[in-house]
Amino acid sequence: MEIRLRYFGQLQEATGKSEEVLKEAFDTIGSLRNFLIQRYPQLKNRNFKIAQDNKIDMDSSPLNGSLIDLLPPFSGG
Amino acid sequence: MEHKIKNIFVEGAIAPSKIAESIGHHQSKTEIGAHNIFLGQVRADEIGGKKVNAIEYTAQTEIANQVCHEIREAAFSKYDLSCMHIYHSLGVVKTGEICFFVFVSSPHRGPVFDSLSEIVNEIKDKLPIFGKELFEDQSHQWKVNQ
Repeated sequence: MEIRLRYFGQLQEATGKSEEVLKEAFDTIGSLRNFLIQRYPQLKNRNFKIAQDNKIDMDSSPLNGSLIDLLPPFSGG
Repeated sequence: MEHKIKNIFVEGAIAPSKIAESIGHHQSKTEIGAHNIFLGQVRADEIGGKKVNAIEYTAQTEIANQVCHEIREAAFSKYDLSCMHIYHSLGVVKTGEICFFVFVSSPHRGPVFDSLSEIVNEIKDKLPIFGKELFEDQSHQWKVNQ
């Protein structure tokens, strides 16, 4: 299954991408996080939340969504 | 009372005339006895000798609208509120302009005083909105909420 990844805010600058498609399979949100940190070392010390199919989810949750969003710290208002 | 999910986002600054109109729309709701309004304005912070000119907002709007809906429903069940309006800017908002508008109404003043700060704080904490502070010299930094 393909997953579509979207990067938001400062994570677009960190990775140089706004989105991409991955063909790899991941058991959990956390395993995707580790994969991304390997791929983009500049993500290593950054704090970001991960959402799947428009819901923010924990690293321990199974990855079964097809739309994944990487969300840096929130700064609305 | 069930409410549907609303889109809180507007492109660019929130005009003062829109806020005035919004107040005016409540004149027909005569059960209301108290309104309370929070307005967020873009501040010209000076950082490392450079002044902020504007903030450019982006958001994961689907999640933001869903989470805002949950905050709204929680406030309606906790407080005796007649209505609630929430707007947040996307795109560039210049210093001195309004980027965030929260408006609550109730028959009495207690619920609007108590609910407003809670709603504003929750929105700032929980909605995936990202502010990019644009400086006069075209450089930028990512806003961090205090």
